[in-house]
Amino acid sequence: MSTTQATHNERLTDGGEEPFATTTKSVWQRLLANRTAIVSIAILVIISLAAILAPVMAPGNPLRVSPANRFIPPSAEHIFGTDHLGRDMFKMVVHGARTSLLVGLAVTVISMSVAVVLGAISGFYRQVDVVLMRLVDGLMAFPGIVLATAAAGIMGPSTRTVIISLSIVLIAPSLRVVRGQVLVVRELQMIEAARAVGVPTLRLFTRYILPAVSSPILVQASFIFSAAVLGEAGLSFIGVGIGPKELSWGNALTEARNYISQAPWIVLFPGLALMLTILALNLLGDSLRDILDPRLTRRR
Amino acid sequence: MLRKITTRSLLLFGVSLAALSAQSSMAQEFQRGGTLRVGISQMAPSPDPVVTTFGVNWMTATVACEGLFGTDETWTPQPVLAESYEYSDDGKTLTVTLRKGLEFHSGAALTSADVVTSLNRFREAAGIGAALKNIVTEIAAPDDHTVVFHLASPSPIVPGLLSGAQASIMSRASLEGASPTEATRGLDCTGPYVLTEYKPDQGAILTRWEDYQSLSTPSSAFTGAKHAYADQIHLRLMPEASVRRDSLITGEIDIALELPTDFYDALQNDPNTEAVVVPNNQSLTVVFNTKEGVASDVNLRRAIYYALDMESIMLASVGNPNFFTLDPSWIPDPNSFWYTTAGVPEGFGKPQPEKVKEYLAASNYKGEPIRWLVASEQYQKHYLPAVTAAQQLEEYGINVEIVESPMANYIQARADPAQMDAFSSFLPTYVDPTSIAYLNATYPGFWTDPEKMDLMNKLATTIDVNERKAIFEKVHALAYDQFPWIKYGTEANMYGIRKGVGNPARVPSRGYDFYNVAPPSKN
Amino acid sequence: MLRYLLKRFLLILPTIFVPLIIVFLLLRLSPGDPAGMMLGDQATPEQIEALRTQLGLNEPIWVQFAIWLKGILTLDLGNSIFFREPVMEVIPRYVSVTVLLTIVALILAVAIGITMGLISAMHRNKPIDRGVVAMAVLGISLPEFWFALLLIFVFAVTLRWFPVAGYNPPSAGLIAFGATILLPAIALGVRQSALMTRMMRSSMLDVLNEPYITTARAQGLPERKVIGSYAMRTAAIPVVTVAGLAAGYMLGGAVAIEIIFALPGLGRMLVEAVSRRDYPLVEGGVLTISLILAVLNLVIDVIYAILDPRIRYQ
Repeated sequence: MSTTQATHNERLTDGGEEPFATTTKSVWQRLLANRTAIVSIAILVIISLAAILAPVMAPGNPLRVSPANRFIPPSAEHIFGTDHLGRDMFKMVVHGARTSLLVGLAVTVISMSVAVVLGAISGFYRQVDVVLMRLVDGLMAFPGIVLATAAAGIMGPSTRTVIISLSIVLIAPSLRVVRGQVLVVRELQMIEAARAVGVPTLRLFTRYILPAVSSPILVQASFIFSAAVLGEAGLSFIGVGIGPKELSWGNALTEARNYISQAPWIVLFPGLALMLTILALNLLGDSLRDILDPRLTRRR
Repeated sequence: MLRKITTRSLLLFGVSLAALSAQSSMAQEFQRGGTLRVGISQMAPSPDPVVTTFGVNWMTATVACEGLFGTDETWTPQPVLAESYEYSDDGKTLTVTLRKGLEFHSGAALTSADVVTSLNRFREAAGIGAALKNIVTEIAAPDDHTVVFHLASPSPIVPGLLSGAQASIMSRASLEGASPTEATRGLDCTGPYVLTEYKPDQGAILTRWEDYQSLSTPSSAFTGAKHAYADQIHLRLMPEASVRRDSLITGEIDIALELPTDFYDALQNDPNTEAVVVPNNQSLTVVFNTKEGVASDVNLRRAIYYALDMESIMLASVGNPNFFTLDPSWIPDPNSFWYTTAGVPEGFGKPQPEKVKEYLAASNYKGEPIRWLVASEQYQKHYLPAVTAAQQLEEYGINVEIVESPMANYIQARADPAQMDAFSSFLPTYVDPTSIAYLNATYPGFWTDPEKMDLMNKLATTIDVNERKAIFEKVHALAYDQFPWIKYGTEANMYGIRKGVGNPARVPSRGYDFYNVAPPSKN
Repeated sequence: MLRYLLKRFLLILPTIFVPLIIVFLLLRLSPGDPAGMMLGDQATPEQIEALRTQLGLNEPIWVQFAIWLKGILTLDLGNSIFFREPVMEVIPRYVSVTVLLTIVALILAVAIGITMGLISAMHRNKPIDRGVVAMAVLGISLPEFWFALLLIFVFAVTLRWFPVAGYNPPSAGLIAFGATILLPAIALGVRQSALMTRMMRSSMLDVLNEPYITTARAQGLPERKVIGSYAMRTAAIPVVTVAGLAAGYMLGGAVAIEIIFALPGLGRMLVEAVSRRDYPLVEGGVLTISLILAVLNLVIDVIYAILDPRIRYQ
């Protein structure tokens, strides 16, 4: 799936020779000064609000079939129309946002946390590093789709299964990024100084290393988030992600593709919602990188 | 109810057309030649019909092979490779005489030894083969053109069991090394087409066999004359329904099998295509675990039956109200000898809330989730009925937990009585009630009621057809009291053709008789 | 350099073994039964059990593992349960489709990426640059499978320029092949071309700031020559690396595209084999993909090492 894509930008731009900038202005302040960032954050806020408020905005079970109301084109009553089972597409899209964002958030938190812990260990202990990097290489050579399909077989197709398999797949590229940063940071003077005066490793990590690597982690997190959202949709679309009992933009499209010529709206709206979410996440990632990576800002 | 009337008129239309085509198929001649290109939804790893019980996987063998018998358009078994057959006076032996001078595609002559080898293998296979094994103790070949079946007890159903694609006769040489689970390499049969290419992931090519010796009787489904209009029949694997439809509309194929009824308008509105609706194709059902778990409580099953609104279940699954009938008979064709509504409670298909409450009160059910298995590959036939039924049951406090898994898991899970309470299924129309898999005591669901076991034994050993019908009606009535499974209705099958396709099948009994279908390129 | 290469080469072995062990355990752990899938809907439990024994699936898991490991060492991957032929014969058929699809998609992506990136960099901060940058962001955010559906709707169903789905091998003629490969290649390549556009643009901007370009210009070389023979060559190197990564991605994960366009490729085969529980075929497929990806990663790393000698000493 599209999961390994998250590494593309990083491998080429984080050559790793200089750490990301840390200046006095907070990241947040600088984001709000960036037009692209504002637009992308606004889109994400709207989508998040839709997801959070879904039960209020579009009450009722979105998956409830209503055979009498099939294929109603977008109208006042059903602003996104209805699908082949008479389900309201607006409800589907709004509730689908919950799944997408939940998967994105959970996968990002899980894979980034694991990557940070392992990356720190890897950056400090050479022996662990050798083994861990072989494992990462192996994991990156493993087709994520097989993992996801087999996981769906073992645990049943569900949101939980998708979160687990996407997290596993996305740990590897994140781990590489974090490890690379830790390797660079630990050679910094202030850290060498701290080590020299005998600061314990754990404290060294929380006090010095973590803050120093937080910027690239933030950028990586935004790309992992978008990779997870896209990955979930892709897996659900081909039928090895979230099953039909739960709702996702991806599995809404699975059946919809049969009706693209007679009811294009079924295909259009979930796809647009998905694209908009990915777009916003990518724009946010770009802005974050522009703000945090001085080497890149030069190029603008 | 306008809707009901439409359904009925459609049904009558289908039947009258069937009668028409049965009468006129000799008169109506099509040009020979051209290629018939058929988009199919799935393919078996091997064309050998014996190694799988998935009926759709027998398509290739249906065209390339023949058995001793074949069913005609009224589901009645008629001789095909057999010239004649007769039962002994005590009913315990069946003697079949083969037609003379027949050959296999490979050039070998057809003899009784080939028949014995083929059918002995079939007897060991799953499904109908197992039913044959219960009845036939030995198959003997006293001479080259005679086959004798020794029966455990008198049974009339042997020709019916020998009519399916699985009972195809293949040459002894080609069966070397094959077993009921080990497939043959290719098909060395006697049918009108030779299998010239088989790629399980792409499709198959069948080429007309010029040495085929057709019967001269009027063609009727799997019996009578086989015209072999097309020079070649190309089966092309297209798993996605929308791809089959679009390929039909753009003219890449001539026939698109198994289409959702939602495509009806798209095909009818295109001047080059037609949607063919085959009514009464199969029954949609849910089968319960009668052995253990919540559903083994007969009163809960009764409550479920009375809680269901069959029309909205069928509507959710099939889509278009013109493409299903609310018909309780397990063998749905009202023209079939076996059609019956014996034991069906008054008002089939309409929920009866008082009865639900009554039976729920009599049951031990306390709101436990009913684990209901569906296979992900069967979204329309499995998942949609289940989810609609679950919505209806919820209103009475009956909780359904739909367990969706890939087909491989589904088949494994439903065989384990500890893992499931119910599963979605569908029931094809069978020649004889003894072939209905649900009635097999080891079939998942495990309906082993002593009265039913007794009746089934009688059904298999009674010769007189009217007596048999009476026994079957008792089984039917018993099931409409105990509900080991519930049938919601009968769905039509829809497929699409290009204009110009000659003599497409419009009745379920014709199955995939592509040898009698003419390609549009020549007509 | 040679030592570095050798070291990397030896490290491939464990890289491949990790996925192999994962897949073996995953498959055996997951419920579902190849025997049930083969016998079909109406088979009884006893018949399924008999077939399981025949297929060797009732052996203890460690015995199965030993048999399978021995097979790998002797280059015998066993027989596919579904196809009933050796895995070593099945897989090349599928690999060829996926490789051809990747090549066509990659050519499209590289051609579009380099051209657009170049145009964009040359017109930095002008409307055309902004347009390209916006298109690229949009392209990166485009879900492939959704884009593929739109392509089919427009070009196959409505305009009827291409068949809806299916596959013709190159042996069927270049036009027939092109007709079935072009839409999937576009669907697959569009995201990659957007990534390459961005990469080309930024590396071009970097290169244009380099002193030797300024020198070349100062010496009065025509702009066309400065760009064409100096800047382009350097700027395209990172794009080549992106292309390598894209190739890995396409080879291992074009499942949705292969399913939508009914291409008999490796990704689709794998998903189907997993759902059929065709253990030997899945294991063989994973081995193939792992090998391809591992070698590809090696090639990328070597290119890296050539570009940046510091990596070798890390």
